[in-house]
Amino acid sequence: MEMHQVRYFLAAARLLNFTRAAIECNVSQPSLTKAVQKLEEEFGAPLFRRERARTHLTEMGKAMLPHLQRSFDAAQAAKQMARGLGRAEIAPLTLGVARTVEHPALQRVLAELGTGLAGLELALTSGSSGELIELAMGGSLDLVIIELPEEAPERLDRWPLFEDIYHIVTRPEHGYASTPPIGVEALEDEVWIDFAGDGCAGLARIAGQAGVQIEVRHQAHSLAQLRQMVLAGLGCAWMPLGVVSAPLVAVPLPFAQEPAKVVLASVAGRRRAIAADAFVRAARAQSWEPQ
Amino acid sequence: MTSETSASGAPFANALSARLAATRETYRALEGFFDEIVLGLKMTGVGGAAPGVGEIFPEFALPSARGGYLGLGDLLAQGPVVLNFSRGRWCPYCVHELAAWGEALPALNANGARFLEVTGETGGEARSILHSLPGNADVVCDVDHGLALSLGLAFFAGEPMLAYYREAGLDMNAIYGSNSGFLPVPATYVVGQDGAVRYAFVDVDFRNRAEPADVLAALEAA
Repeated sequence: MEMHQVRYFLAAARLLNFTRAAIECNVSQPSLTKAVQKLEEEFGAPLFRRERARTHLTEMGKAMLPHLQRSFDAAQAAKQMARGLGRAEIAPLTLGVARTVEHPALQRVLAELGTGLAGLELALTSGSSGELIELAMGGSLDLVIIELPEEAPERLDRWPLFEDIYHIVTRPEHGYASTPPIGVEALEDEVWIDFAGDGCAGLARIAGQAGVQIEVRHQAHSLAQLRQMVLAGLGCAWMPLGVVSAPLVAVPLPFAQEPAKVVLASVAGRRRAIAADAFVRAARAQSWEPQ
Repeated sequence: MTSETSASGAPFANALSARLAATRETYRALEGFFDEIVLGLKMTGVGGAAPGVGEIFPEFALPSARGGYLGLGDLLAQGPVVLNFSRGRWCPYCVHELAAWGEALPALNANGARFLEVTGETGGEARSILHSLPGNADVVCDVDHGLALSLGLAFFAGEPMLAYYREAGLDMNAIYGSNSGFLPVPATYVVGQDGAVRYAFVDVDFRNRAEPADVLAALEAA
């Protein structure tokens, strides 16, 4: 496929009118039609269904539209980045990162954007995954890095980054550090520290399924607070392994559990600005494997 | 295509074409299947609009495996560039090709040239390709095959080929971070410091690749 063919296709798909698409692309309608036909030849199926008064996308056209748009955007970005266009322009990016997510790849992606887009204006927000999804849906955040909830909105484009397993987190002196709990019942004997609503809910659910109720007594609002409270011996926490560092000790549950799926997401169908788009590509290029 | 010695006299014990031929032999039963797909791509004109010798290679910048963005111009400032598009190390032909480039790197670098590999693979594969190359090289990540598209080097693989890869256990979605079914046409360019294409190899038949010895000869002639 060629750039002009994709450009004509995207215009026709947006306007659902070949005449208007040709005007917008500044070509004759026969040229536009011919280019779309070439594309259809390559895809081995019609992309449009043209009836007397109306033009529709076929199933193939609908399926290929987001892919062609992404590749077209990526092609333009590769050109713009070379021209230093990003350097002159102000490139705002509002990014929400869930409090339970920490990963060295995030720093690499931000560093890459910082060097590539001198006009970058980054506003970084943190919150629970649920809060960040709401902010994104409301239009306040371009992108969010979150743990994908079971009931995530359909209108969320998502790119999987990595998976993490929640662990009981305690201090080295705690009994769990040497003798992990054998059954869910043992969790009842412990005091738990909630982490901004994100922390203990998962553990409470797991315990609840076994008819066990855990006592969540304390509240922390940042990872730093949570670490301090655990080390002070106020109780145990429930955190993804990726955010646990010494001297804290991570203790696995004595049975298998579903990993938390960390994804990069944005609201589907909304055009992303240059910085958000560059962030998505940079994040996908990176390895998010555990280091 | 099968010269065993580069113009500078550096020996290539094992020409790439010979290794590719051996791979074809391994997958002999698939020859007819691939022939038909390649014929279809040729008839649709895939790759036909890619830059040719004498044309100016369009400027671009992509995320580099070393971090930050790397532009063609950044490399051209240091010398001519050998620019290579391959599909990725999931493809046995690409594995041989990248190995052959690894072996040719010292001769290439001795000619003052830089090697730039373009991969559409996501998830840190650019970095592992970089680490697999023994000489002075760079790898950039062409997410969603954007650069390939802008050169007319991206194509829709088609259901028969995608079904074959699926059955072979290859997850294109995991490899390219997208289930578009788009693939890059394998291509190799020598771009001179003036930005003009000195050598171009584009073949929709992914079983054929530029011979590093020929590319070195083109570099030395420039």
